[in-house]
Amino acid sequence: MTRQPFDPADLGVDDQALAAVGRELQAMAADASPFPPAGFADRVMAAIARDPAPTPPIAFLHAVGAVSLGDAWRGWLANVRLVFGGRSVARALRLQALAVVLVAVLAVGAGGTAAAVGAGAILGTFTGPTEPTPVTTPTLSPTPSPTPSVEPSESPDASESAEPAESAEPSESAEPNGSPDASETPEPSRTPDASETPEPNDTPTSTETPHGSDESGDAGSGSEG
Amino acid sequence: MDDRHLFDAITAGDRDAFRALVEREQAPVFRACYRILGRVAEAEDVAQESFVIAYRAIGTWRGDGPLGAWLGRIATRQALRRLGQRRETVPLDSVGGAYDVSAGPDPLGAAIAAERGLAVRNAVTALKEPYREIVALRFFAELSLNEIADVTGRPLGTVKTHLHRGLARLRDALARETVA
Repeated sequence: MTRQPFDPADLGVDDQALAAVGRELQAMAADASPFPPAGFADRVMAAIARDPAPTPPIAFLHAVGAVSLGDAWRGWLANVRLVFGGRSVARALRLQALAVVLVAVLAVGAGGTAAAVGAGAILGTFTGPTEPTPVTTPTLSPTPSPTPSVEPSESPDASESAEPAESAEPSESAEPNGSPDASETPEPSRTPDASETPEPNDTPTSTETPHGSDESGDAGSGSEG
Repeated sequence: MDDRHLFDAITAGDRDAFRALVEREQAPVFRACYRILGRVAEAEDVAQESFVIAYRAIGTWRGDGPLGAWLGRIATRQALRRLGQRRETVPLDSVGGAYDVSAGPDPLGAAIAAERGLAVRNAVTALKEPYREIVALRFFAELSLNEIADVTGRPLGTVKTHLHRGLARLRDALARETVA
């Protein structure tokens, strides 16, 4: 029983030799046409008795389990059609298909990212010289303690000397390494203390703490080049 | 019941719908397997396996071709795969049906026909892809060129070209067989 008889015109060329081969194949197929044995359908149905309903999500999972990329791709497309197509399907089935679509996208994205990172590491993209991240730890600089012995009578004089330029100096003087500015340490002790008598401790500390930290912190901040 | 309704019923879990599909398509599927494998028992085994695969993967059917053609391709591929897994040592007395040389009024003629049929089948299965699949789908699964184009996802012109080249190679192979 031949469903679609061979027509040499199907080949698009007039080749009698090829047509003869086609006819021979067709005749051979017609001769070899046994019927399936009795009970064949029953055996097929018994073989699938335990299988769940073959929905597109199930088909996709079967393809993934069988490590068949082509079937998995077609299964994923079937789920996409189920989610975004106009077919009227059960809500639960549509949600399952949506979950399959999203999980597959996430899995592929994660795999791609991991592959890119791995390839980059192999190629040395990320293995070049890296600068250590400057960590500016605000350290309490040794603030010159205000001398409570300052007499209020000197405050008018000191207020004139409390220029911003001088107020910055104590910060450098606060470096523990003993920079040349350290020699000026005694000076700010007098200046801000007099101008800000109510809160003497905050003046040098809050404004100069970043500068007064260790040298690496200064280099990292870039404020001093 | 048409293919679309069958598909909707099967994917909804209606096993009777799948049984209807099996009963409708079992003959062409079984024949395609038998024409490739040449053994009834093995053809039945592969045909059953093909239906199970089709049931599990029916969710991937795109609906742009008949379900029978889609099943035919699955069966053809399974049969060709099975054939590749075994060594081709088919004795003449192992092929039944049309190749039964003891039947008929002309045993000699039947034996010659059987030997020729075996040579043709061997020549087809020895073709390289994609020619082997196209020729098998056209003559063993009896699909039309349009159906082959649908189930394989190839343009119709490409299918014609592959069929033409496959038959040409088959002709050369059979000519060498005749000379030998």
